[in-house]
Amino acid sequence: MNGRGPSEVIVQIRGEQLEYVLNECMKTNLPIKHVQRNNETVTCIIHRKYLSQLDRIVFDSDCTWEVVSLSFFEKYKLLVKERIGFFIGMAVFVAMMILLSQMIWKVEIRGANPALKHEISQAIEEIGVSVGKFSFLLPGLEEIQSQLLDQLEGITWVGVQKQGTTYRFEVVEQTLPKEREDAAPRHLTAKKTAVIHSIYAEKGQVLVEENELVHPGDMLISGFIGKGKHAKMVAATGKVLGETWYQATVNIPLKQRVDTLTGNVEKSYALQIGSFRLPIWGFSQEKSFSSVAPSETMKQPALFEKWNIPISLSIVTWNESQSLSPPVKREDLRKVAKERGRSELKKKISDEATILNEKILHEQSENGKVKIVIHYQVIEDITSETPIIRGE
Amino acid sequence: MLNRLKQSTKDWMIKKMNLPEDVILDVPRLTMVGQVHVLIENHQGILHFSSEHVRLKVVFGELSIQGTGLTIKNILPNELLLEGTVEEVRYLNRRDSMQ
Repeated sequence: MNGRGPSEVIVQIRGEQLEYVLNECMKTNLPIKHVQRNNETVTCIIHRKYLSQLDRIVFDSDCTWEVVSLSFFEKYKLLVKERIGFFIGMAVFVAMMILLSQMIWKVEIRGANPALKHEISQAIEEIGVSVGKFSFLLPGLEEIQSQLLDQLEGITWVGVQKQGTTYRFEVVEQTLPKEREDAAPRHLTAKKTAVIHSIYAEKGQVLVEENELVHPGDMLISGFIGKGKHAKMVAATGKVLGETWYQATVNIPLKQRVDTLTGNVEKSYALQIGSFRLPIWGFSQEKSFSSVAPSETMKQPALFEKWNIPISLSIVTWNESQSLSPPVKREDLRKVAKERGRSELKKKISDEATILNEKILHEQSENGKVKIVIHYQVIEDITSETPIIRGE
Repeated sequence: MLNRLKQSTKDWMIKKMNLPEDVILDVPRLTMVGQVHVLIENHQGILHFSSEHVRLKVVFGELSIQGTGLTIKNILPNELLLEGTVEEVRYLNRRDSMQ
């Protein structure tokens, strides 16, 4: 009995005048298939919608009929009825899936400084692009792009991209050249004692030469230019690099203590609920080493990156530590002193300055300490601006 | 009377015009595929049907088909597809007037 359509049923007809039924079926054009005879009964396959016609035919004869096997369609319907909850759940899941995939989950803005980013994000939100909105309700990408370009100033170009549930905004900022202030007439003078290393004058009259010693207040580049009638005052600009000298005194103890970790680690775990601390594992780890360096990390589960659950797991790592005082060599000491002096010097001079030379001038040990004096030759900008007072 | 006239006209036409019989006469047409299938066209009803024996009414008598496990695969008006193992096909009440 295979080859049955999805809505065809198997019917059994019982009675005396079976041939009559078959002939009637033929006459009324009732499509029945697979007619099989077993003594007093006939089984056949018939489409569900013809059952009423069959019933009329069978009723006219003295036979009876019954459905032996339901159609697949009806069986399926019964199954669905039995497991209605499951099928509803499945349908809801699919619907949710489709709905959620149409929502915006992330908005990214790239290539803008924080202030502009804030402005853009506000403008975007006004258009309607924000997390949780349906993307099919929004205007098209090109429209968003042109709206943003119209609304915002300080943007050269905005690229709007939609990747799945993410909106990506690529911003190119407008960069305007800085307006130059018109400086007041001035001289450039030395701010410290130095030997001139190089001169680069943009405006003004150079008054010094290379390798000349200058003192603070000495005029380097004058703001007066021209002679006689053509004399005028300008804002002298330029760069004068000079060699300057610094001294650094570094004190280093002869015996040095170094704290190191031995690599032995114990861990203890505790659950932090609000301000209450509940130890879970590792109660005596604290005492396992003579000297320890503890460090604590907190693991806190979060819901949707927004709400923190007030329960966190605290993991304290107890590292065994060790104090060593290795013997110190003289040369190492010098090295350390130089490094320290250099870092101290760096704080005093500007970033553009370069250290030309360093020399240990003096070394003296007393009270378990070494005192080292280092001399530095530094090349740096020595100019300072001195305004020209009119009427002078 | 009229029936007979009609019949004889048909007979005459077949003889004279060289037409195949089954087109004009209502005689049954059987198509057999080995022992497995029999397709009977132009029958006029089922007289008896069981898995061993099928008797059909045809123009001039009966058609008897014997076999085992016979089932009617398909019923269409004037057409019947029998399936099973066919052992014998026989005409009963042979008409003499045809000769």
